[in-house]
Parts: sequence; structure tokens; C-alpha cells
Amino acid sequence: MSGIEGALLRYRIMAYIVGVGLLILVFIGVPLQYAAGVPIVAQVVGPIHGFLYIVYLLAALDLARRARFTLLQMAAMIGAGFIPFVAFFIEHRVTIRVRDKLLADESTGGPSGVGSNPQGH
Amino acid sequence: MRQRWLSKRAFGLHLAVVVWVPACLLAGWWQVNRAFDGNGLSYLYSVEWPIFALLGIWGWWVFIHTDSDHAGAAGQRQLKAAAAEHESEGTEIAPTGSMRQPQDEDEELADYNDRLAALAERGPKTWRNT
Repeated sequence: MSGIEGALLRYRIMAYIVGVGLLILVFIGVPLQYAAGVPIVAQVVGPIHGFLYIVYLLAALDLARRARFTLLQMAAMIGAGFIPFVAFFIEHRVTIRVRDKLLADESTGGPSGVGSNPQGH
Repeated sequence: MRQRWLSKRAFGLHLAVVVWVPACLLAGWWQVNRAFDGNGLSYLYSVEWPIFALLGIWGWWVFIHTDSDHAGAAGQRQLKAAAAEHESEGTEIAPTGSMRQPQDEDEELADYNDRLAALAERGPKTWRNT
């Protein structure tokens, strides 16, 4: 299956990290900065979250390519990094979908694996 | 070649990259201006946004060059149709029939095999048909 399990694990790890990072930023960092005048949390977490989101995008695109996601599914994965809590929900659905796909491919001898072609051309 | 650049999926990708890249560059430019106005944090953000833009271009290129027979919604429909055709020829795909040896199966393994057989019947899934 050309490393779908590995790609799924990398994606899941990054989804949790980015999901938690966004929660810290939105519910702790930003209120502290604008309500309490303490910008330090937002200043530290903000740029780190930005760079981790780049890694998250790489992991998500890698998984989408290997597991052959549709554009809508990819858009959901990318958008998950912008809205608090959505990352966890999307991560759950992606995991179920990829695991089902792996099971289905296993039972049919892997028709959707890279390099095989059921049409024979 | 035509199929690669002009398919429905390819147009979706073109549209996505045409929106994504200018949006990232605009946001980056906004952060550059904020950085020059004295916002120290914006120096970091004005580096991050161009990277997002580049990532979009890279992703667009990679997905355009993903085998269009298999990729995306159309590819999954094709796979499903091919699997259905395969089945109608009377070929057993799922681990049932002669491949299955009930005397060796415990209950858990039987459940697993039933699940595999059910998945094989349904074919490749997307979020839409679950």
C-alpha cells in the first residue's frame, strides 16, 4: 500500500498538535493579549503554530496523495487547521475512511494501490 | 495530457491554486507592512505566508500529476464500476467460498472475514456515500 499507514500516523500526530496549538492560541493566547494585556502566550504560540501548520499541510497532502482523496476531502483537511475543534473531528473521519479503504483494498487484492490498474491500460 | 490538465478535477485544482496563492501573498504583504510598522511578531508571519503560497503551488503540481485514472471522486467511481464488473463475471474477490475454511475459523476471524466481504461488496468509499 506504499506507506499509507505511515502517512496516516504522521497526519494524525500533526492534526493533534495543530488542533491543540490552535486551541491554546484562540482560547488562551488571544484573550490574554487583548483582555489582560499579556501578549507573551500569543507571541510564542502564534509563530510556532504557523510553522507546525506548514508541517501539518505537508503530512495532509502526503496522505491525500497516497490514499487518493477527493478535492473536497483535501479541502476539509486543509480547512481543519483554521477552525477550533474541527481538526479533531476531521482527523477522526479521515482515520476511519483510510482504515476502511485499507481493509477494502486488502480484501480485493489492492486494486487502488499505486501501480495497479483494474482497467488494464 | 488533455485529461491531466483539463479534467473536472484539474479545474478544481486550478481554481484552488488561483485562490490560495494570491490570498497567501496578500496576507504576507499585509504582515510585511505590519512588521515595518513595528510589530515584531509580523516578521515571522511574513515568512510563513509565502511558504504557504509555495506549498499550494507544490500541492497543485503534485496532484495534477497524480494518476488521473485513480485519483479523486471520478477515480473512485471508476474503481467501483470496475469492481462491480469484476463481481458480475462471477469471480469471487472476497475471502469467501473455497478460500474460506470454516473449521479453522474462530468467531473473531469469522467476523473479520465477513467485514472484509462486506467492504469488498461496497467498493471504494468516499465520505459522501457513507
